Amino acid sequence: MFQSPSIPAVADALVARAERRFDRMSPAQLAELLSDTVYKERLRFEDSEPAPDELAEIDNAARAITDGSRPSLLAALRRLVRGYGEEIHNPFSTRAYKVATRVLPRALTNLVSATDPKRLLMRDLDPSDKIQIQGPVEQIKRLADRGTLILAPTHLSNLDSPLIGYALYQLGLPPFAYGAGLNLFSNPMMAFWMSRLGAYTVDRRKQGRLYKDTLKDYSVEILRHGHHSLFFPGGTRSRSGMVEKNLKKGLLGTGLQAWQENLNEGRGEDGEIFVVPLTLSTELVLEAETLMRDNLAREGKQRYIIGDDEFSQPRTVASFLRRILALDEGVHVTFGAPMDPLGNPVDERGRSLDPTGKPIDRRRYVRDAEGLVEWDAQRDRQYTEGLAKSLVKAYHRDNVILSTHLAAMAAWRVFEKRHPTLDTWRLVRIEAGGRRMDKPDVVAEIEHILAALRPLQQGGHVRLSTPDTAEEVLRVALQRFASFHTRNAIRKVGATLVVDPELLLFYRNRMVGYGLDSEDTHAARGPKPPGPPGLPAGSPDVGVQP
Amino acid sequence: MNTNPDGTPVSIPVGVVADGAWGQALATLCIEAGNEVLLGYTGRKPRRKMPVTKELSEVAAHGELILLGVMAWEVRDAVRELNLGPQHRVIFCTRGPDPDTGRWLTHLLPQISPVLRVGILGGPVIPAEVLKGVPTAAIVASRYEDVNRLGQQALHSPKCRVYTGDDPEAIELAGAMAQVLAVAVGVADQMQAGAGVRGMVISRGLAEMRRLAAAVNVDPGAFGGLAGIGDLVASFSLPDHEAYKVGRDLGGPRDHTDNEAILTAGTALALAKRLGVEIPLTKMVYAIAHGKVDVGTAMASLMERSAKAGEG
Repeated sequence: MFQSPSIPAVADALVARAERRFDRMSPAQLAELLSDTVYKERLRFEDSEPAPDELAEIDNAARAITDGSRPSLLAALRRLVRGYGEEIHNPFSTRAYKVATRVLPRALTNLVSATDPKRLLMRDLDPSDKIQIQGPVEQIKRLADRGTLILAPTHLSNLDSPLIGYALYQLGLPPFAYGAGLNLFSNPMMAFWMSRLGAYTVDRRKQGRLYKDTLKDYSVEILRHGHHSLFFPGGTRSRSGMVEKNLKKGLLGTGLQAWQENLNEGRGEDGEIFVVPLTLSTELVLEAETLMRDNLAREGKQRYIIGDDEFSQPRTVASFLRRILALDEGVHVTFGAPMDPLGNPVDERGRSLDPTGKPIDRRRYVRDAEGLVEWDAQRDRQYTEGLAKSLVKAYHRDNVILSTHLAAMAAWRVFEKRHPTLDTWRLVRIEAGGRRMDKPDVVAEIEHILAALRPLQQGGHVRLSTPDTAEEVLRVALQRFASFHTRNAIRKVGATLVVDPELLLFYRNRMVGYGLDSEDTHAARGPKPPGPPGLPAGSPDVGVQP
Repeated sequence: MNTNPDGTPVSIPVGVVADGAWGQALATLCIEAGNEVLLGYTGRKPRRKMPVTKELSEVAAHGELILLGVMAWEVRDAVRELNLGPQHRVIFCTRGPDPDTGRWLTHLLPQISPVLRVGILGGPVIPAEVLKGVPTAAIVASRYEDVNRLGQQALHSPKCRVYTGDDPEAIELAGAMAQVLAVAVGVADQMQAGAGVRGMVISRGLAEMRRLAAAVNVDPGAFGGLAGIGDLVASFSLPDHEAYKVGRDLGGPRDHTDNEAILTAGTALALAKRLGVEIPLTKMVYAIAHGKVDVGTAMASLMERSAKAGEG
C-alpha cells in the first residue's frame, strides 16, 4: 500500500518541476504563458461563476503581466501552479480504502448513488456473477509487484471508474490513482469516496497550458512515487460509441517521462513502468442517448462536460445498474497484454519484446552510446504516438461484440439500404414512417455479419460473445434494448421492427474499425454532409497495398 | 565535413548496407562528410577501397546509424541478418514499398524489428556521378528529428547538400512514383513523340503523383521537391538510368515485369484503384510492361482521353 504525500508536499514538488521549465524561458515566454492562463481562465469565468479566491488569483496574474518583470511573472506563475496542485491532489486514505473494500461488492452501489449511503439499493445483487473479467490477470498482478502500472481503459460511461475499481478489487490488485472530472465531485457521496480512494481532481474547464502542464507533472510525480495510475486515454467518454481511435497523448506520455527519470536516477526494477490496456464492453450504455445526441450536435469536442446527463439522476443510475447487472454477460472487463511505455509487449518478467518475440533492452531506446539518458521531447512524442497505436490495436482486439452491437449494425445496414440516397445526417433525422423495417431482412444481415466476424474472431482481431444463431442474437438484443432506454434502438411492432436511428448508430459504432462496412466512418461525421471521398484523415498506416 | 561549434570535426560511425555502385556511392558520401563507414554487401565485393564486410551483423555493431539501401524485396532478409536493436536509427535508401504487403518501408521496419527511429532518403543521388565526385543533393525525412539530424551528419558535405523533412511517407511515395514516371518519359522518347508530349507526360505525371498523395493523406508538396521532380528530371536526363532505359525498351522482346519501377507501378495501381484515384500514366506503363497493350496504342489512348478543364 503506497504512502500518500501531503498536499503541501505535492504542491512543492509541482512548483519545483514547473520552475525547471520556467528557468529555460525568457520573460516574454513567461508572459505569454501567463497571458494564456489569464485569457483561458477569464473565458471560463464567463461560463461559470468563479470562486472569489480564483478571481483574485487571476487578477494578480494579470497585474504581473502588466508589470512584466521576471520576478513578478515567476511569482504569479508559482502561485498558480501551487493552487492547481492543491486542487488536483487528494491524499489517499488507507482507512477509507479498507472500509470500502470490506463492504464491497455492495459498496459498488454506494459509489454510484447520491442517496443515503446507509440505504443499499441493490441488496440482492452480487455483481461478481455478472461482470466477466478476462485477460492476462496473473501477469498483470506480477508486474504490479515489480513496477508501476498505468491502466488505460476505454471510456463510455461515468460508471466505468467504479466498475474498474470493482474489477481491480476482485483481482486483488492495489488501488489506482485516477483523474476524475471535477463534475463527479459535485455528487457528495462520489466525492467522499473518490477523493479517498485514489482519485485526483481534474477540472476539464481549465484549458490553459499551465494547468495542463501541472496535471502532467502531477502524473509523473505520482508514477515516480510508485502509485499505479489510471488514465482514460480517449480523454472523455466516447460520444459516438466507437472504440477509441484518437488518443490524447499528454497524460499517456507521462509514463515514458517518469520511467526515464527513474532510469536516470539509476533505479532498478522498481522504477519500471508498464501500461495495461483495458477494454470495457457492455450490452447497454447508461448515457447512450445523451452521448450520441452530443456527438451529432458536434459539440462533443468543445463541450467536455455534459451537465445534465443520465448519470446525474440517481434513480436512473440505480435502475440502469439493476438491469445491466441482471443480464447474463452484461458487462465484459477485458485486460489486454501489458506493454512498456513505448507500446512494445512485455513478457511475464516485464522484459520488452520485439515483433519477433525476442527480448530487447528497452533502455537503449532512450540512452546514448555512453549509457546516459538522452532527453529528447520530440522523440518522446513519437514514442508516445507508438504507445497510442498499440493501445488502439489492443482496444479493437479486446473489444467484445455483444448482441446489441451486432443487431444494431445489421439494422443500420438495412436502414441504409432502404434509404440509399440519404447520408448519415439525414438518416438519423428521418421521420417515423421511414424507420420501419422487416425482421427477416435484419436477421439476414446478422447472418452476414456473423459470417464476417467469425474469421476475425478466430484470427484474434476481435472477441465475440453472442448467441450462435441470428434469430437468437436479435431476440436477445430486442430484450436488452427494451430493458432500459426511454427510447428503444430497435423495437418490435407487430411483424415489423422500428428503429431509433441515433441509438442504433451509437450501438452499431462499437463495430467500426474492423472493415465490416465499406464506409466505416459514419460516426466520424458531423452534421454536415461528408466532404470529398478519400481515406479518413490521419490514417498514416495506409501504405501501398497490393 | 561536419564540425563542432568550436570548429573541431565531428565524426560518427555509419553503417551502410547496399550492393554495387549504390552501396559504394552512399559510403563515399559518408566518407566525404568525415564519418567512419563500414559498408555491408550481400552480392559482389565492392571494388572501391573502403572498410567492407559481408557479415551484416558487423555493420549493426559498428554504429547506431544504418543507411539501408538494398532492394525493397531484400529488406526483410537484410534486417534479419543485421540483428538490429532499439538503439539503431535506420534510414532507407531504397525506392518502392514492401512488395509482400505494399506497406511503406518506414512502416514495415517497426513491424519486423525493434527499430522505431526510421527515415527515408530521397532525391537525385546518381551513383555513377557520386563516384566521379560530382556534387548532388538529397532529402532525409523522418518523424524523428534525431534521425534527420544524424542523416544530415552522415551525408552532408560540400559534395552533397542534405535537406530534411518530417513526412517520410510523402518522400517514399515521391521516390517510388518518380521511377514509374521516368519509365513513362522513356516510353514517350522511344516513340520520338516530341518535346511537347514529353512535357505533357512530365506535367501529367506530377498531377498523378499529387492526386495519389492527397488520397493517402501525405504532403503533395513533396513532389515539387528533390524526391519528386528532382529525382524524375535526373532520371530521364541520364540515358543509362535504369528506369528511363526500361521505358525506352518497353514493348520490345525483353521482359521487364520484374523491374523495380514496374513492380512499384503495380502496387501504385492497386492503391489508386482502392482509393478511386485515376493514374493513367502509371496504368499505361504497367499495361505495356505486361504486354496488354503496345506502345503506340497506349500513347494514342493517352492523347485520346477526354478533354478536361483545369491546369492539368
